[in-house]
Amino acid sequence: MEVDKGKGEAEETRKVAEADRDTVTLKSSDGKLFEVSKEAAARLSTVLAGMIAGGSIDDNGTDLKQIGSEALENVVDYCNKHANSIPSAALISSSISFNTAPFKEPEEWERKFVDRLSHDALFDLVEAANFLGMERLLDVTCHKISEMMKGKSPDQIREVFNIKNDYTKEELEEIRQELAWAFYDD
Amino acid sequence: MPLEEERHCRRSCGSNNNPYRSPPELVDDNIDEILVRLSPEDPALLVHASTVSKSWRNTLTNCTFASRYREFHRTPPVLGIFRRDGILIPTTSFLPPAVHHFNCHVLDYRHGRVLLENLDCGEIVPDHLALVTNGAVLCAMDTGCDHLNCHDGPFRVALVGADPEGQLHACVYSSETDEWSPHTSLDVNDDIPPEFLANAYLAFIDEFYNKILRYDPMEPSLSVIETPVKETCDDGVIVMREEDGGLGFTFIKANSLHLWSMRKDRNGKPQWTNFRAIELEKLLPVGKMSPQMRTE
Repeated sequence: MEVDKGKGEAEETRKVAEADRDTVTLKSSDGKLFEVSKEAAARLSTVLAGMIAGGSIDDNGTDLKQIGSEALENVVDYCNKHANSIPSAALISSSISFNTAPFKEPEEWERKFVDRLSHDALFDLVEAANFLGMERLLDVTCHKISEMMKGKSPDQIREVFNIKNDYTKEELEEIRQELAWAFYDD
Repeated sequence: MPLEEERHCRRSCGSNNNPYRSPPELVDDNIDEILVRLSPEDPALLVHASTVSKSWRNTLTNCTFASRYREFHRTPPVLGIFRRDGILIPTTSFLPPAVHHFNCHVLDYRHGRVLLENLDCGEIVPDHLALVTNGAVLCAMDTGCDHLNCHDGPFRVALVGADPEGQLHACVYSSETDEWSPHTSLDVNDDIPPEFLANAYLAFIDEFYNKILRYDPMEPSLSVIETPVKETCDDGVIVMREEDGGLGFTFIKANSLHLWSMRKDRNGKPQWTNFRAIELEKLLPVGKMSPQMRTE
């Protein structure tokens, strides 16, 4: 009983100590550790907010086995930049009620943040944002990718997204005839 | 690991470490998130995206996607403008076949529908409306509809018309019952004080008498409101309900758009106020306008 009690107390002490920290440590699938502002993580990620509230954050690095180090670095970078920028009311409302609030254009720094990423990094960040329930980051990254599709032909879009064309020539021709107005510029 | 329970990752995590891999395949959830953000200002891009793969086409043609797309972008884009003679002037790439309606007169468009008067046959017009002077088409839901996706649902058509004796008539058609209502009549020479417009009403400009007709199909009642200007103003006249429920009135004169609003004065009596004129030549690059726009 005493051992258990002692263990319980230690656990309690560790949790209290952790609750006092301003940052949380996240561990990528390849074992790298990243520090992120606890406030920003809780505000921007529903999954991390749930883990922080539920006390399931590991002081030695919370395992995020689905996220590679490059994507996690970008996630953390985004959270920290967000913590340092003055969040506008628009951003807060967008991240809270994503599915009902109308889309808010990315702010200048968010635009720059996604513009510097390679295609691969951007796609990985979409996955990470979705996985962590980071609605605003998902918004910004998906917006960037949808902008990348502008002015591209179906072939070019397939190349960007690494998608195999599973239509037959006849099927494509049928669509082109049915919706000819969309192909006048071709 | 709680994370694994909360979110199911469908992609191999090992692929993250390979610098030579091909571009990643995004999971369906995320494709959805990207496609929903395609700009409605470029409808052709949505079609192009649907020819990328069958799975993309399934996503784009799914009714859940359609409602989410509308919800996401809220204010629908202007895809084109119907001229009064039934010709659609596209403002985007969207121009489906057979969209022009020759020998038709556009009476109204709203809630994703267009009301056209077929000048070749007047069979749909109820007998007692000898001469249709105006009409409106609207969603049948009185309340609780944001009109983003109701264009396939039940609708109503309201028509007003005059007879040679100076009587005005109005009636409403319901697509649910497929019947016209009994007509509501009014002698246009009756001296009826202007009523403040509120709640359910339709307002029309009557082409013959240059008066605004207020028709409430629910009561039903028909009444007349004088226009803010006495002279005939039949160019670009629009009678509309403003966001706050008041009545708005616009017309074009000498290349200016004249705007009026009806507001209650101190005594609670409705008055035309807030006159504003916008010089269109300064606002619109007339020289750059589509020739189709200039022909009317």
